[in-house]
Amino acid sequence: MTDERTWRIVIADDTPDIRELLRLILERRHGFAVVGEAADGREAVAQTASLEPDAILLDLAMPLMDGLQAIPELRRVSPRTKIVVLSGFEAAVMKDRALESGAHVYLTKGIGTGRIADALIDVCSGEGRHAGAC
Amino acid sequence: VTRPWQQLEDEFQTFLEATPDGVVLVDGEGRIVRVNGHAERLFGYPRAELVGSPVEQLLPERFRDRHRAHRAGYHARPRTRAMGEGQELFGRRKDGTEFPVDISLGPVETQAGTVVVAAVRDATERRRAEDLSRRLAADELRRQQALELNDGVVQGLAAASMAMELGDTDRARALVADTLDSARAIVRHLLEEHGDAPLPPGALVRSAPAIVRRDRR
Repeated sequence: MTDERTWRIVIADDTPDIRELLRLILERRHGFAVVGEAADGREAVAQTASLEPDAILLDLAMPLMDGLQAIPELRRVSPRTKIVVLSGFEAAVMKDRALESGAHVYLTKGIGTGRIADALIDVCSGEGRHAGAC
Repeated sequence: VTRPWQQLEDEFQTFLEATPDGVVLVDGEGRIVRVNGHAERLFGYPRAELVGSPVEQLLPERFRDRHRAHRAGYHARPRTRAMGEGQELFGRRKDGTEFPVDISLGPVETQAGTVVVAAVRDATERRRAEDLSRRLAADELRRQQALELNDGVVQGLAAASMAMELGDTDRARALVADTLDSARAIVRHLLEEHGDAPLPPGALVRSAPAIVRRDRR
């Protein structure tokens, strides 16, 4: 991976600990800048619309607007942003629905943080729909 | 040339036909004395086959004996009320098929004695709607519980595992402790869910295996 560019990421999760830890994890790896955080689906859409990040790490169970509702909106307000769902629900329950709604990758919470970062790099550097990762 | 009683008679039948329910008039002996067209269609019998027959003909066989007893009780103390309050009632068509019904009863004093007016309504749609709304309410409750577990337990453990990967063991320990608290609160909440009745002994015996253990890769 010789690409030197920094991927701009928005983190959307209603649990402050998760947001903070994800930020720490991504900032510890080179190549990421966490440019925004959102605590619910509406905020996620607003942040994505104004920041047009390379990717959003998106929780599904959130107040006001859940992740599944947010996905089509995110695609609409910033078509270039890749949507990486990071959910507490196992893939068997939600993965298909998330990908059908327009998410690019589905990850289950609890996977190694290295794999979250790898999936972000893969999807941002345009290695297609990385639907297999979970 | 219609005589006055004939006119009354005609008007009475007109009233019956205008009633939106199936109407069955039953005498003190339990015989059907009059029905309207809705009742004929509801039960699939022509009028001539109903009038003079015991009203039990319109019930599934398994309810007939009990109905005779209830009917005697009703004639002893007749009043306007719903039949079988709190029970699911069924009618039986001529072809033997059964269907859920709602029935309201009212006594009418006549020169020939007390006649009971039974208004019968097909309850198929109502019960289907009730079943559906019960199922939806149960689904909604389960969904709330799933979200409670997700928010209270999955999120906490996911955060703890991230903290561990970052080498922040103090933070991981604190997150695990918080998660344990919220898991206990959820368990307490779930056990309290069904009213104030104390848990019977044995209620905490788990059906094995209570938790599906997933193989770790």
